[in-house]
Amino acid sequence: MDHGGDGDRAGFHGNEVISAVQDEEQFYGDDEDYDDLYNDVNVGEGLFQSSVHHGDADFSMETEDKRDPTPPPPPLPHPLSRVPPVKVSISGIASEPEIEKPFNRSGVLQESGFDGGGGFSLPVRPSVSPGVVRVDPGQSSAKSGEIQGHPSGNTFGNNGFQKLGSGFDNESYARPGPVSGGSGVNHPIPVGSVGTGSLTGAGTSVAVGGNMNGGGGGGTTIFVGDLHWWTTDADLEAELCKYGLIREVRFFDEKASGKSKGYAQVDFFDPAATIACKEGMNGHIFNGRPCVVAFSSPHSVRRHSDTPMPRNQQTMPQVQPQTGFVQRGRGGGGAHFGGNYGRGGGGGNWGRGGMGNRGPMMNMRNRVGPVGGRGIMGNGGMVAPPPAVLHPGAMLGHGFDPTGYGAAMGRMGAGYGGFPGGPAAGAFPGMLPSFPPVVAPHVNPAFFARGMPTGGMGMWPDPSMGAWGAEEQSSYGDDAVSDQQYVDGNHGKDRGADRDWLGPSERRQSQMTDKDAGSGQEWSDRRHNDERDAGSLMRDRSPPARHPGVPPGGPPGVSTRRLYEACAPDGGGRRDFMR
Amino acid sequence: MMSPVVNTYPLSNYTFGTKEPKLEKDTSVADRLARMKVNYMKEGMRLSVEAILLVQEHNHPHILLLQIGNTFCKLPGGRLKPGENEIEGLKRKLSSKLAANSQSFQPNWQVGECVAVWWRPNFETVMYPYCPPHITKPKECKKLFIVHLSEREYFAVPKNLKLLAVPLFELYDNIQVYKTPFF
Repeated sequence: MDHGGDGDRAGFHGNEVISAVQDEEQFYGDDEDYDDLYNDVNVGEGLFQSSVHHGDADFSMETEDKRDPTPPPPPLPHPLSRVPPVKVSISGIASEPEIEKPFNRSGVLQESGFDGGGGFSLPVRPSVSPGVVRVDPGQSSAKSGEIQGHPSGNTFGNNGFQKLGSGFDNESYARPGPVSGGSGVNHPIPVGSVGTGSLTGAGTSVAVGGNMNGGGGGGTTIFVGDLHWWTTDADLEAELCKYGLIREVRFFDEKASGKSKGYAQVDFFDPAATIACKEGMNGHIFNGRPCVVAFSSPHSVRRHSDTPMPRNQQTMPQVQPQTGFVQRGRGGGGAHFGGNYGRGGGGGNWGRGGMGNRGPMMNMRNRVGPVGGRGIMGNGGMVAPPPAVLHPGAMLGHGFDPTGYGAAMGRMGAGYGGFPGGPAAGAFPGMLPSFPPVVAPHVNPAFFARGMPTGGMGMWPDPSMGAWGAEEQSSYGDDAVSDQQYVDGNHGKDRGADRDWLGPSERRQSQMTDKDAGSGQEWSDRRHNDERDAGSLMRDRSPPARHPGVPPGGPPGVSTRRLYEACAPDGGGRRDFMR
Repeated sequence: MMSPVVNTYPLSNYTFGTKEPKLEKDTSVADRLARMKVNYMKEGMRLSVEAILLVQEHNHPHILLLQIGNTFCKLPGGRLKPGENEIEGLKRKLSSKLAANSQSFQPNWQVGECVAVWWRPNFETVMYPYCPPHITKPKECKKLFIVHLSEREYFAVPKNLKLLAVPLFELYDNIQVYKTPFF
């Protein structure tokens, strides 16, 4: 059966982003030729399909074959051969008999996580997927149960895969590691999950990860997100103290203004309290909005810790640890994804502070957090060596301009067929933004990576952006829109008028932005500095230079004041400023 | 002396001597923040006061700033003791920083209006001219006062500090260099 392009097409119903990529592939009609290229792509459905292709009739393919219906027999031995290494690396992974499990799980995942089941219908490489699939089942049946329990499988699936591959290590992005051949596999999942914008899934996926860790890890740090900017620390603590002794509550603010980003990091003394809080408080309504609670990891904690670390430096080392973030980002940040995407899709505003916190990018934010940014993008795009997992991650992690990023990716992709799969896969999971969103990347880096090999550089950015914007806006609704307005308002110089003392700085920043359109690295560096520099008045809110072709997201001149008026906090006098 | 009018006099009216060095209590930002945390646990929100001293040069107001090392500048002032009155505390700090040690040359500090209030929401270096809405427990509150200088004054500046008279245009749109409120 050669579903070929048809299968792929059907698979993408639920995910416009991916479909764009698929379209390109179809266009070029090189499905079979690029089999190897996509070996690593498509963890989810791909795996399933690949397994099917291998000839294991028992697997019921929920997704159509992505590609190479013919190759399956020859490559069959490869995946199987790969499986053992994968299994070895992952504790608990047994052997062949478990093959069926993954399929079930995959099915589950696909059902739940993949929107329309087609989210990840990237070309499936049989070699890779079986290995990857096996990883999951090996991990634990309990996990599968958890996985099933979570709706919005896309994000969940990604996280689940990532984590499972890594042997339950939230923090390390082990996917590429254990799955030697399947490093690329990871890409699809994160891509798909991110692309679909099913943020809710992120929360669940994080939960899964969290459960995994919580059971074995004893972590005491969680992220609480999706709060109003006027939800106070007192509000949060009043609820947190019900679960145990609190060591620290730390809000993430925008450095330039002090405004809350809507999420906080909470440290308990007791891991049991942490777990109880994560489960008990998730969804709790603060000021009329349900929060999202996600586990954290020391890496993410470090990233969000004090300013001193320059963002650029943080980018690289954090790629690995960011897997944990990814999960968190999914859970906690999942909520923010929408906001980020909305922004990105809406206005191409990538860089709030150059960090894609909220989005899939890994990034640290405001005060802390890796600030990657544009500069990294440029670098990553240029280097693009398959083993350079960090580069894509670095690029992705930082808020970047979608157009610029896409360009870089396109260049990279052109030269490296398999590149996007490999490093991108690795990169994305790490890159997925830490829970505290820094800046919502509007574009899913994974998506870009995928698009690269097809060579349709120019093609995907726009549709993806459009798709994302639409998706994000819908999922986040007011939050995304308002954020967008907020940023735009800032950019649109209303802020200059509103804040005289900051006006000149902003103008300067805008000027710098424009000049730096070409030099992404400097921009990202500057953004990092803006984020990090305690003394700097540079507003990290200012969006990066708008690259041509990126449609600005909401009305540029919207004043931030309107935003605040819209959600004016109720009651005042909550605190007594006097001694 | 809550007058909205500030009389400023030429810088040359003032005599600047030196005195023994006044070293910073903290050797690094991290130290300072750590010490801030300890004090917060003991005493609650820190209250600090700073003085804006204006002089006139070339028909343009200049602010007196103390420069530490060759890096940043700060306004003269400091942390109040628990329960200390703002004005008294500011006078104390001004004398500590700028007055000669001998009793006969103590300036008569005329503390005027409070012209700015800055808040530190977390144990970090950044401060804002308001308390962010989601913060109910700011860590520090800093008040800036205009201090009216007499026509003639004698100041003694610690040897490790430099007293600069910075024109307003130099400060305008140049916060990242002077970092005064964000210190």
